[in-house]
Amino acid sequence: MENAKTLNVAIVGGGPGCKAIMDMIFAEKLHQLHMNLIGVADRNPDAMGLVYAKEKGVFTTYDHRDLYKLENLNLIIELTGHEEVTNQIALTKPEHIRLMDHVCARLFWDVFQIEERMIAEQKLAEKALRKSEEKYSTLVENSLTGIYIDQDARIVLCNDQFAEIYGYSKAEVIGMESRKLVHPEDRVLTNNIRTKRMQGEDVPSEYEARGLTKKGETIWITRRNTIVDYQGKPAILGNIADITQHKRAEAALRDSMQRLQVAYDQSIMYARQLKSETVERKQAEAALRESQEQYRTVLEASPDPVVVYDMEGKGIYVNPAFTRVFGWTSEEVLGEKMGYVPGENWPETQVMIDKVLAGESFTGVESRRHTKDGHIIYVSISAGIYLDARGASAGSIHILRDISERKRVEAALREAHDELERRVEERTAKLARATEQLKLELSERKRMEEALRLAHRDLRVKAADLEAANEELSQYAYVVSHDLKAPLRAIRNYTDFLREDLEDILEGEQLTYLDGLKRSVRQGEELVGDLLEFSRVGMAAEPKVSIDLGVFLRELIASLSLPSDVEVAMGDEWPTIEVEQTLLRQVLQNLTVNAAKFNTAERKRIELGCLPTEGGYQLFVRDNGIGIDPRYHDQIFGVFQRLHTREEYEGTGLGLAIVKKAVAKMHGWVRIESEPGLGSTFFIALPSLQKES
Amino acid sequence: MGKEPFVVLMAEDDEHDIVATKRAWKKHHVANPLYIVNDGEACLDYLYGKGKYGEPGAAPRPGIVLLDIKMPKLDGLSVLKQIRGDKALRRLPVIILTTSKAEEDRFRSYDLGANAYIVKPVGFENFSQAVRMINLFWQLVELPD
Repeated sequence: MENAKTLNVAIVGGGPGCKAIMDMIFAEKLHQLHMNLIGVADRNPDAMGLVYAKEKGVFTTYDHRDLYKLENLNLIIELTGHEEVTNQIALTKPEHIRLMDHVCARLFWDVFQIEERMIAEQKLAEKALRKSEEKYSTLVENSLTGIYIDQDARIVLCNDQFAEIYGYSKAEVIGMESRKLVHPEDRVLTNNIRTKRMQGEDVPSEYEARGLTKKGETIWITRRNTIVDYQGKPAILGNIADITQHKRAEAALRDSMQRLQVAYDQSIMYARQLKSETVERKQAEAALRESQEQYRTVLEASPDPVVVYDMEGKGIYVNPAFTRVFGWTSEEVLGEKMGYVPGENWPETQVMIDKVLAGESFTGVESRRHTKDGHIIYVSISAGIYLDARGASAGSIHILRDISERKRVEAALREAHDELERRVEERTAKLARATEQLKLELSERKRMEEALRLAHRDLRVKAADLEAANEELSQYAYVVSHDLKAPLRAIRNYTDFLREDLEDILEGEQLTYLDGLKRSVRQGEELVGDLLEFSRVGMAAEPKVSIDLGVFLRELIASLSLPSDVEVAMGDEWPTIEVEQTLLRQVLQNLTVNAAKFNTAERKRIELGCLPTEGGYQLFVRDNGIGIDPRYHDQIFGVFQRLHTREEYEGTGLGLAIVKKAVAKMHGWVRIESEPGLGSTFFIALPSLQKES
Repeated sequence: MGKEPFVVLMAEDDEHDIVATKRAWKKHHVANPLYIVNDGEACLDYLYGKGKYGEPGAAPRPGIVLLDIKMPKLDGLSVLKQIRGDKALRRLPVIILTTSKAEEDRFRSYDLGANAYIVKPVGFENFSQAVRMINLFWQLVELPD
């Protein structure tokens, strides 16, 4: 106000505008200009401004010319709005007084309004700011967390809390390098994050790091940072809290949690164990109860009398068998001492009882007891201790088997035994005599066996000799028959020549001689031929070959060219055998030819087959021919043996001899089944037809 | 046809077989001259014209030789071997006519180069027929020389 210019002002025209300006002046809103209102004029005594001025003690008049007289009046503001008034004032006013007409006043007013509003707003803003600053400051100062502003790596602002956290005073902290407050190991981390944040990169706004107190202690800080504008430059606004305790608590908690977990797990384990133990125990109890039930049932069912005593020898239980044998029922014995031991049997009984109660069990001890009606019977006793559910001795259990019958039997047996012994002695004597006899016979037999063995050996030797002799004979027969052939042929030829040449000359009888001669020679040739064949059987060692018997036989039959009235039947299933082919052929050829020859049936039938036997198979040749009387069954296999004359059937009597020799060479045998008029069947057994043994 | 009948040389020791052969020759009116030797040596003498066959005309060259195997002195197969080994006689047709049915004799005969192996048929009728056939056959055939 001392510097402000003082302006004395009077207003002409006391309308509403006047009042407004008056307010303005009174309010001294203009800082650089001090306006002093010294008068207000208006023709109308009720004008608002006039009234207001009067109230305020300002000079008023109805005539504006009065204002000219006011001392030190600098300015007249004309607010009537009438131009004549403005002109009049302008003409009449003293020169040193300035005139602001209503237009200017209006303009002045508008400007003043704007400025006033600005000022008001500013004042409001300042107030609001102050308020918020207060609030802010309160907030910051009252915060439980440390708040700070970090600008250019220094702490430019913070609250007491922040400083306290680090053990400094606020004054000490402000201006400090912020890195000083960070633990050396975390400085790189925090620096990186800050730099990145300042550059606008995406970094976590909240993170933990270690701080360093004034005293050099390490603390754990959690911070929440963001970029703000502070005094026109970017800065970091931070919000920290000391979580050291928290961290320690966390560690302690983790630790105790672990311990708790362990304890928990253990307790779970114990609980489980306990549970399973309980389950087991319950199971055991149940099993025990069950077995007890079973035993009870067993006792009930036992055919032997059973008594159960308690520890004092009083009866607890008897089974039905007991009642049957001894007569007392379970009710009668319950709680009573058993009074069924005869006097003389007491001592041994006492011994038994003592033994049992001592825990020993035994079986098969013989004693005697009364029955209810006074009989005495023999018993065999087995007894043992009887345990209750908890395993403590609860009494004894006795099984009393009635052995009266047995005793009787034993006595009878003894008698019989004595009798037997006597007889045995008798018999033994006899036996000794017989043994002697036998010994003699045995040595005799040994002697005979030896003689037999020797005879057998001789026999074998003789058989070998015989075989050798046979072979020699065979050879001889071969040679002879072979060499006989040629002369015989010559004789026959000459006979033929003579007959031919002399046919016309000779008489009937002489011709018959020649014919007879011819026939004889032919017979001789036949005989020699057959003998040759016979002797040749098996002469050369022939190897066995594997042949399909069916195929072999079919080929053979075909080669024989049997007459058309002969039917040959063969089965379909034939085995494959290992055999000397030539020998087999000779056998079957001769048998088949015989079967066709010695046959007078209208429809001659030969059957070839394989008969299954125990050891394997037998080949057979069956015919519906004339049959052979069993008397001659052996004879017919002899050399030159015939059952018919030459007129009946031709042949030399060697056919079957050849068969027999050939079969023997094959280590088989041949037999015949035949009856006159019922045909014949020849059976041949060969080694390869037998099953492996 | 219209050839001169060739000479037949027969080597045979069995007198009865010789009689039968001669009889067959007569019976069938066989035109071929028949010369007979009784052993292997005699056979070769004849073929070489040696010994008693040294006289000219004593041993006319045969068209075929009928050779028995079993002969005294030199046997049939040895004679055959000789014949086949001699340049002059090599081509001579040799028919083994024998009683032997033995396989080995047959094999050996053919191995040594016999032209045929015939087993003497039993009975004269058959034999004479065989003789006739042999002659007929060899009439038909072209002899080597």
